[in-house]
Amino acid sequence: MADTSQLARPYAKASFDLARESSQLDQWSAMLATAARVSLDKRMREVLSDPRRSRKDKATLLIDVCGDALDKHGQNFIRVLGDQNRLLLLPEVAELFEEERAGFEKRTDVVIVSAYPLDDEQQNTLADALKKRLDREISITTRVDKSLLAGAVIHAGDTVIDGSLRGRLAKLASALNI
Amino acid sequence: MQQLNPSEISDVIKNRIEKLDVDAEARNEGTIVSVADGIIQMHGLNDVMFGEMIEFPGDVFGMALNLERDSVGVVVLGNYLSLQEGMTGKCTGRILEVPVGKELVGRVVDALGNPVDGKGDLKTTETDAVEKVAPGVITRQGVDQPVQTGLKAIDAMVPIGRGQRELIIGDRQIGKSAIAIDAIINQKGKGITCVYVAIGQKQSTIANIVRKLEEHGAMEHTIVVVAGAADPAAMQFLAPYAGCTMGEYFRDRGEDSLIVYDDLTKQAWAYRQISLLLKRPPGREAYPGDVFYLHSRLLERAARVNEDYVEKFTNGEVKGKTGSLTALPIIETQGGDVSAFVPTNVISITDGQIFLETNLFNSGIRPAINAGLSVSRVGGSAQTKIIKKLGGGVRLALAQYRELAAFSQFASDLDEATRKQLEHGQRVTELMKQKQYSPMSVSEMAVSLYAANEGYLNDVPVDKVLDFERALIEYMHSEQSELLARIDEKGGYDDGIQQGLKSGVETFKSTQSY
Repeated sequence: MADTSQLARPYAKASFDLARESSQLDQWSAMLATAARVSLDKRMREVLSDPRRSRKDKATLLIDVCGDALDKHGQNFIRVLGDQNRLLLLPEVAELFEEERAGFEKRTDVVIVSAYPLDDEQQNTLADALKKRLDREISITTRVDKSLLAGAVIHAGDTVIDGSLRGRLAKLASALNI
Repeated sequence: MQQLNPSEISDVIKNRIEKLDVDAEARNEGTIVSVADGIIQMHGLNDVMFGEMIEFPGDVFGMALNLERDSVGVVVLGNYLSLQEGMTGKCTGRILEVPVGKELVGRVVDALGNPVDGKGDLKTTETDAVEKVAPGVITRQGVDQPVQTGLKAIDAMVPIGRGQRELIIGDRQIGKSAIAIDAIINQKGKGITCVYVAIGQKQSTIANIVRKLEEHGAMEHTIVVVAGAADPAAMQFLAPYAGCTMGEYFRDRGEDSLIVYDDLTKQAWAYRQISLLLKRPPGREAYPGDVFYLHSRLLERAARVNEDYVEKFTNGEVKGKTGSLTALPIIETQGGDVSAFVPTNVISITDGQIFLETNLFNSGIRPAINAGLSVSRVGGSAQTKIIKKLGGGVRLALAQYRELAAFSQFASDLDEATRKQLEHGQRVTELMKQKQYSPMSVSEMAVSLYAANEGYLNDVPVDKVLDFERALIEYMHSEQSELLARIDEKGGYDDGIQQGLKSGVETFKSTQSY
């Protein structure tokens, strides 16, 4: 079976392009998020994966449940998904949509894990430095992990900047072949 | 009490701590999505390079082989049992490297260059990439120096030159490895560093080979690279490239080296396994599409390089020397079928083949070389003069003998000429037999080939030919050692040498018994 994100990508791309052209990124984000959440509901999943129901029925049901949350284009999008029997992919589509959007808006979620809580000044310094380095807008989430001993580890997408004492000790250990 | 390792000397530790760079580092990270059969699918790793090493927790390394849109396929080098879904893996920014250098000589290492012989650290200072591009056209030079295998049948009929790729092909249990091992043993004191790459073999077989090499003093010029049958497929796939890199070290520094891949069939199997698990489409015999390239890029690296290349490579340190890497790949056929996929591929890549046959082996002709099907496409110009002169008749005699032997089965009485030719053929066939682990020098070969060529064997009973040869060589060693030394030194052939051989053999025949 092909990777589900492989299947979801064209839908995410299409909806994103449409949203961007009509500058309705926020609305589309909200619509997809709602639809995804609805489709994740246990009873809804049962219905959506029921082979006895027609594709059209499933799409109509989903649209009805979402109600006012979907505008005309949103409803059409669900129908298109329904036609191809891809309604179960909605969570992936929503996720990929957000990825596309983040890339377009040059936005990155950054997680900073530190050994001790960061004060505002430290956080601002880090934010400025990261903005410069990544050349993107960033939104920071912080977490405290005592096992780092000291310093911090920054996760920005796939890139990890390890400035923790634990990381350095691990490096030393591997250099000494322990 | 716990023992102190040699690597625990405080100076060494101090050095290592000083060299260590502990700055914060930015690395690409990914998450393990699935682990199955030594293949890991990872999510993330957006900046990964093809062939890059990926580091997993617990000092496990992998190599990125499949770069797809949403995932990266990684083969694990080593034990993957500690890895789980959800763990992270980091890019290292390096492609796979192995240690190289003279320090490796005499050692047994695995495909990643870790010692497995229990003799401690390697003490190498350099490493080099496992996958490299072969030297280009401009940097190459023709093959014109011989590699003496010490086997009469090979040196006389299918000579091998330095920088040549000569395939050894045949069924299982027929003496393929034996030829390669003899060739390695014969390089003792000849300035050729040997690399023996054992792929997919039993550990017991490998241990035996290493012991035999040690017994004959051949480990002093040999590196053994081991990827046994129990090692992961990734290691078996990588071992030839790792061994090649170790051999190239000598080639690039103006020295000569010889590498034996034993055997490439198993490597192709390992690669097939990896490819199928990575979901690459199977082709003929379920091998992936690039199995030809798998072997061609490996064997292309065996080459003779010219002085300019060596000088440039060593930054002018080594001048006026050519370097070579001679390859002896081994291929195992099933039931003598050389038209299977991998055998045909490797036959077409190499510069000739030594073809071994079960029938010959079973009828006691060992090495079981089929003289008709074995060829050397470039070795002729590298052959020692004297062997070329004296050995030319052997091939012809054997070819005529084969034809007549088939024909004479139907004829009851034969004319004199045919009978003579048959008898000569029988004796030459007998003479081509040679025991394992007893390589011959050029002069010894010259003596026995001279005796066969000039018809001195004709009145020797067929079953006495080898005794005759042994006694003759012993006699020549004691009575004509000066002549033999001269032949060994120059390898030329002139009237003086011919006279010497003639008088030597004649006196032997008239005065000695065998």
